[in-house]
Amino acid sequence: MTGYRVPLIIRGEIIESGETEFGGRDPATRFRGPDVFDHLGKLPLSPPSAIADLHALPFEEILDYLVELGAWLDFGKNAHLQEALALTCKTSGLGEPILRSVYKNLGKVFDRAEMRQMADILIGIPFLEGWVRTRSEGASTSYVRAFGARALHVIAGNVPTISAITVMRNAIVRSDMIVKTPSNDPLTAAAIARTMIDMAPDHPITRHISVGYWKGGDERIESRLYQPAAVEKIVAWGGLASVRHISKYLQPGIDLITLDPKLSATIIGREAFADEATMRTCARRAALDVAVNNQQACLNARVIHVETGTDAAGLARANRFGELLYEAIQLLPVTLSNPVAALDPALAEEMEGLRFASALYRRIGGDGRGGVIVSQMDEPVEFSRLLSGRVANLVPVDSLDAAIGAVTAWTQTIGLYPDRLMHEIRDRLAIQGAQRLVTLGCATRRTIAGPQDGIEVLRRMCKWILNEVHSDDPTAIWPDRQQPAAAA
Amino acid sequence: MATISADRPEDWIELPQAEIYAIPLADQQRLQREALRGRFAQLVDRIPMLRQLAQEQHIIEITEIADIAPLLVPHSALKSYPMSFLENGRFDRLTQWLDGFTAYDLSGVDARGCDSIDDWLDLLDARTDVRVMHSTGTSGKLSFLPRGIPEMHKMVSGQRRQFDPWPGERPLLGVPIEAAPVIYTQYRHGGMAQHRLLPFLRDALFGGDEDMIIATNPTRFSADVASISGRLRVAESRGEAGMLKIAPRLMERREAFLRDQARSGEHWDAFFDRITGRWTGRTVSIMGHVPALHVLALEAGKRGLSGLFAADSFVAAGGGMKGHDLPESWRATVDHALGGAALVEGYGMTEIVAASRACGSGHYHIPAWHVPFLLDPASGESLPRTGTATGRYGAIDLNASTYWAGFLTGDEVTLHWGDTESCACGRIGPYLDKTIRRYTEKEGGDDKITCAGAPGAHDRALEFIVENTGASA
Repeated sequence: MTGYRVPLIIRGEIIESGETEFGGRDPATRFRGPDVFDHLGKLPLSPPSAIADLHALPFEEILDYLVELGAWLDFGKNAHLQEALALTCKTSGLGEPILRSVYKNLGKVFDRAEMRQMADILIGIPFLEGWVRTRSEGASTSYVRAFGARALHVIAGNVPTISAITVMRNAIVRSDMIVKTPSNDPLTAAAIARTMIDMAPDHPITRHISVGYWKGGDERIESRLYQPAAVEKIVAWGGLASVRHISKYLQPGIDLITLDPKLSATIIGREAFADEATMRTCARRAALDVAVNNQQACLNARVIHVETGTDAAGLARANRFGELLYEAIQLLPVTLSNPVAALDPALAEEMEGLRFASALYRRIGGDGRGGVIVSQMDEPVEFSRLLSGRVANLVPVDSLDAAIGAVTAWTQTIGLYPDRLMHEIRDRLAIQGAQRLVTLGCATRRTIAGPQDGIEVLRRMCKWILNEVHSDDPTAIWPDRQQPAAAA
Repeated sequence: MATISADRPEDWIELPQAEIYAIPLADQQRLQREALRGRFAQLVDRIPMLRQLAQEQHIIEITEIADIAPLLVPHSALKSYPMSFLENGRFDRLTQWLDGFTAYDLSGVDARGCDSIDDWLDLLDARTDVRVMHSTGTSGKLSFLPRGIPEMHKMVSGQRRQFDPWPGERPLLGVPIEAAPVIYTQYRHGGMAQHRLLPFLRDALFGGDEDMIIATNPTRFSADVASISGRLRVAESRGEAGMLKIAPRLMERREAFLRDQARSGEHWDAFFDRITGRWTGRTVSIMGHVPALHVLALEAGKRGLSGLFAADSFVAAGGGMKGHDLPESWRATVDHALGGAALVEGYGMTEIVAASRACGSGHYHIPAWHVPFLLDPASGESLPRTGTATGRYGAIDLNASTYWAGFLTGDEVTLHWGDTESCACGRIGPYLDKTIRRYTEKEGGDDKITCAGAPGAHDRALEFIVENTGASA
């Protein structure tokens, strides 16, 4: 029986009583806590106009609050985060050294300059602060302001940083937020909310965040919560797994923002194979894109198209590159990437099967330390979507057209080498579906001041309110309002 | 007791349960050791895959049972061909690939004219003694096991043996096996293991009388249709280039399959007509699983039928729920329709010719021709062959003389080796607990949310397959 307890937090109130058990079949990752159903009456913001207090806060005060929160999220001193780490070590595919590093860096999400840049580029701070005149033609003037909403976030749990980003975004857009946590990370968002309560129990930002766990699909809860009377916007990570539960409650009045699961890829042009030294450097860059955070995130590379050619010499170059890539992955610092106890069982099964097709796929490694599969033809493995735990598939191609044709709507990031490819093929990649194009080796350095997955999440989290002022007289069309001179 | 020889392990399955489960443990192990040595020596030069594996592992002969462990083949090996062979119509290359897994020489088979998996299976049936068995494919890709005709006859023997009496246990079937028609809850024809078995049962048990085989759907389960979901998924993941390659002929078969599905009510009418015309209230043998039995019961209910069969009928209901969510009332619905016969669970796999049925004490006993292995799931190392332990299950079927039947499953089992404790039912030898699960079943329930992944292809044909074969998607 596990000792982990997951509290329910409702706008500053911490509810710990309750013995409902959750989680998977592994006793080590099960946890207990209150049944959200018992507290459902308090969960939606009531009355909805209670969101007004957030809109009275100056933007700089919101930043002050978040910067201070960043300081309070000091892993060495914060018992809530330490507890979250202990559980996440058991539920996550990230090893403890990485998780420890992720938690230590959680506070960096709340960097003042970056948050200001994000708000300004993605929304425009004046729109958050008040009414902005957007149109002025003759007697007509329009003003627009971005208001917060009553939002519910179904978040992903593969990287704890998602919880911190969600809290930060919500505060910036002045929304009231209910976070539904996932079973693979039920504690990080709660730990941040508890830190907010420790820091400023009565602050409006603290008073507009609720965090709870219930099993996705629990109709007792979701049928009452996923209603326009309770929430206006639902931000759902996790694609079909989480959206399947939500979609049956959709109706006018609920705006669903989906952050679908994505996969990322790499395209390496022929220059990389000019000589051994260049190959080695590119292999190191590719290793970063594949293996940082153990390939648990959407932005990690999985299939790597290499323009080596597919003749015997080309395959030899691809195979050599595979060896260099495998070596580079093994030499990454443990705080960025580390071996895991075992690969995902479904992937491990597929990797085992490849032994029996050795003429078609060359396998390097393939255990908990990761691996590289070098296709001996211009096709990726059929199970490319399962690649994780630092396993990449190198696919030799004769021309980049094959690599571009393989890009789909769920290709998020594409690492490119050399940078000339940005200019040559970025439009084609985007038209095929790619959402982020980045210099090879930098795929895991994502700026928060940019769009995500092809959409402007922050703008969509706001309610955009239009105010029009017309100083001319619309009733002038009635005959009795005609000028006397005209009647004469 | 009949004497048994390590030279002919394929004869052991002919022994009644009272004899095979009475062989002292030490004798079982000696016989198995010698039989394994013989099978390996006989097949290593005839099956390229085994030869390669033995070379990689530097194994030239078998002296101990445990020597086989590194030669156990993961079931994923049986789907290690590239799917592009199918999309590009390269059935010649698919044949070459399959040739690596069988002792038969397939080099003379010219499969260049095939344009579908069904065609290819028909060609192999017509030209060779291989009877390829494919998987459901709903997990993404069909696997192909090249069973030979000799092992097909052993499957029939396995069917017989499950009905042998055992002291203190209720007989699983109240009449001789030759007197009970086989009710099959799926398609009459096709390339999956049970489809392959049906004609052999008909000929061996019923003198070729097709009336004794009653399937709920008289048509063929197309391997091409079964392969659709995986092919669409791979095609999608390859972008536009992939989608363009999906063959028009495949999509035609899919349409034909869906048209046939629309006629399923007629198939059910005809099925129940055959039942009520001759078999109401009588003892039958039903091959099914719980979701399929539930569908059968609902269809019976729609027609006002209940108590269809005698209570001493045999109802095979293994394989769990196959990922289906059935209403809590499923058991009552099934019992009401079938007439109250017990539902009998079993543990088996396509690679092994016959399943083990649960004994009176609720264990799956492993007959001597089926040699079990238990491995550490993480390291792949063999666990000691003594006491009781939990691990990844592997097995070799000594019946197989035309393919290498040493396989590693993806199942987590608890195995009692039968040396330090024995089952109350009195059978001698190793046995398994009923709690068996797949390692690939998701840990942490289904509520893990991640930003990494891609949507799977969803296809109406796939939904029908899941509903009708009970395959888990």
